Amino acid sequence: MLTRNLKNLIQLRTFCSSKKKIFDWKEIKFKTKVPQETVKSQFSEKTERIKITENEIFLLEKLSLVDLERKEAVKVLEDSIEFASKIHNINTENVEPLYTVLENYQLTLRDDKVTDGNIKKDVLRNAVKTEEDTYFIAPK
Amino acid sequence: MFGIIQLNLCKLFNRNLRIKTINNGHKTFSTKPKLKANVFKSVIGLEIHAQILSESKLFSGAKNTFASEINSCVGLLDAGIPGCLPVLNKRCVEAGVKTALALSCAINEVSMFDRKHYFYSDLPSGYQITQQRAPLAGKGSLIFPVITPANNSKPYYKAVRIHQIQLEQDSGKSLHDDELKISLIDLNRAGIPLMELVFEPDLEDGEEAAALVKELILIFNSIETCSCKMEEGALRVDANVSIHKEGEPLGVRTEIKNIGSVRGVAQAIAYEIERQKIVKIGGGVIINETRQWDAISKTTIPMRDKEVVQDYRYMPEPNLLPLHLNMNGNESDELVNVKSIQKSLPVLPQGLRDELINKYKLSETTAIIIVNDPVLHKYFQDIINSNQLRSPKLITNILINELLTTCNKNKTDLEKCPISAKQLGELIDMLESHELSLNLAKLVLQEMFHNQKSPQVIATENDWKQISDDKEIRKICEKVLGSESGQKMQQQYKAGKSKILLAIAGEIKNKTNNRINMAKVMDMLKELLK
Repeated sequence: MLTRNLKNLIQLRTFCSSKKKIFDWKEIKFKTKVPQETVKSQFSEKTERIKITENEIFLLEKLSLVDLERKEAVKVLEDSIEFASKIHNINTENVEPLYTVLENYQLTLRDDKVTDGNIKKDVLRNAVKTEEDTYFIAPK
Repeated sequence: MFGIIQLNLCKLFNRNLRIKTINNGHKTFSTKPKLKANVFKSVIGLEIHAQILSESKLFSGAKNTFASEINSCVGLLDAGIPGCLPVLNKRCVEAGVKTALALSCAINEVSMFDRKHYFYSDLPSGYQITQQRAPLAGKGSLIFPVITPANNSKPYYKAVRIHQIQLEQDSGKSLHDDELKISLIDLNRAGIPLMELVFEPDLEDGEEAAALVKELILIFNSIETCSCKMEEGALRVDANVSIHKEGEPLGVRTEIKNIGSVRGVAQAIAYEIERQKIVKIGGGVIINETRQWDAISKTTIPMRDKEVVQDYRYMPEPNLLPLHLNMNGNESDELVNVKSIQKSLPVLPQGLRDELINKYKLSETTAIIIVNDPVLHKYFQDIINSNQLRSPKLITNILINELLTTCNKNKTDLEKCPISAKQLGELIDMLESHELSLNLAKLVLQEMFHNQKSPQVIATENDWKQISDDKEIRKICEKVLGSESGQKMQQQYKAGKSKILLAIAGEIKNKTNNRINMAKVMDMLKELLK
């Protein structure tokens, strides 16, 4: 199930990058701050394009449960790496890493009370296979 | 196929182990032993997962429980249903802070959560929420006693440093059906709060590791942050083991996963050290792998799960803000207050041992044994607190030697021992006033195991009370000396055969069914035979 979804996702991304527009952007009804046109890279330095070996692809597939059999998919992956690699050109010396823009806010805590659970039916409802409505049966 | 190979390997190791011990046995006869196994030094580091005692899970309001109806204690978050957000349980943070304080760790005012990704069917969201970059607590240390049950070597203290303590989610449980080739998943455990305690590799052998786990259990019991029921998986130990020759860099380590008992920790590590020695002596190479301790065959077996280097793709957990703690003690806000937790810390095991040594003048070994068993310690406290005049030494002697023996004889755990502290206290009073001899006290103890009568009543009913009255002792002595055999022995004694006194005493002992105060008998005999 999960694998199928991720496959779809990859296909979707492949569609987008091959500029087969499946969304009508003009349909957006409200003002948005999201740029409607692709923003050109503001990095001047060139980044080297990284080639991915077959072994690396195999490892990535295993780690992420994504099927990279299609050539386009590998291209998308390489494009993404190239895009992200540009960040290496930025001088970050003496800059504290920022993990969230909400760093100064405090995590809200919950009292230790049982407020959830006992919803076995709901929990099992999405499962493809179950064992007499007790256990999930893991996909092979 | 692999199973068979593993089994054979295990057999081989076992055989080698046996050979090794034989060779070691011969060591005294030859100047150069064939196996220079003793030149190796072993280095051990532990990682301990402790389930936090709480009502609900770490990030969801589902019940934290063991052995409930399958998949009944699961919230949508625990099942990895998209769109659910984690909300951190305050009690778990408090438990983490309390544990960190008990291990003198440096508490981080701000800590953060991360996602650790891996795909396994008992981890429905595909990641575990843990603390990797900025854990709840860092550097700490613990000093604990090492007392080896098998040999009677003197106990010693060992120091271990703590690298960090982090909060994280437990995973679900998978049950593998080998016949149908399916995995059954129960998510009741998914999301149960865990503290992971990472220790520096400061230990040298299995016994030290077992002693560390034992001390941790005592600490957890006193601060009540973990149930420590190892049989339920509430406390799980992973051990990293490596060996190297002195002066050389550390060897490649193997990791033994999920050891489920204190003795298992000692045995698994001892086995793994020996296995690595045999591999190295045989010219082999230790590979960095995960192994599993099999408590039945008493061997470690390789697990085939980490063939490729894992990449957990850690990333900051975007759904949780940084966790702030209140360090200054102001009672104004909702944050977990570190200072007030510090104040609420109970006396820890080391404090209890110090009390026994300093206040009650008990030996270090006795103090360690008493504190190592909370039930014994409770008995001791109850008995001494209800009468401070009782001799601490006598109390501990009765508890460690006689009470434990009686429990063993009746095949009962000390926890379930029916004898009350009040009964034991009275028994000790009777021993101190010489109303009872130690031998008869053992009979009284056995009797108290089956009925709740006071030792006074039991001793009177069975006519077990010690004869300590001087007049009565004189009477009995005179009677024995006056008998035919007695008179013969008297003559021998007077002829200079002083050892005959013991024979006379023995006769008196038998005559009174071992009930007489022998010290007084000896004095009386000497007086009568002057």
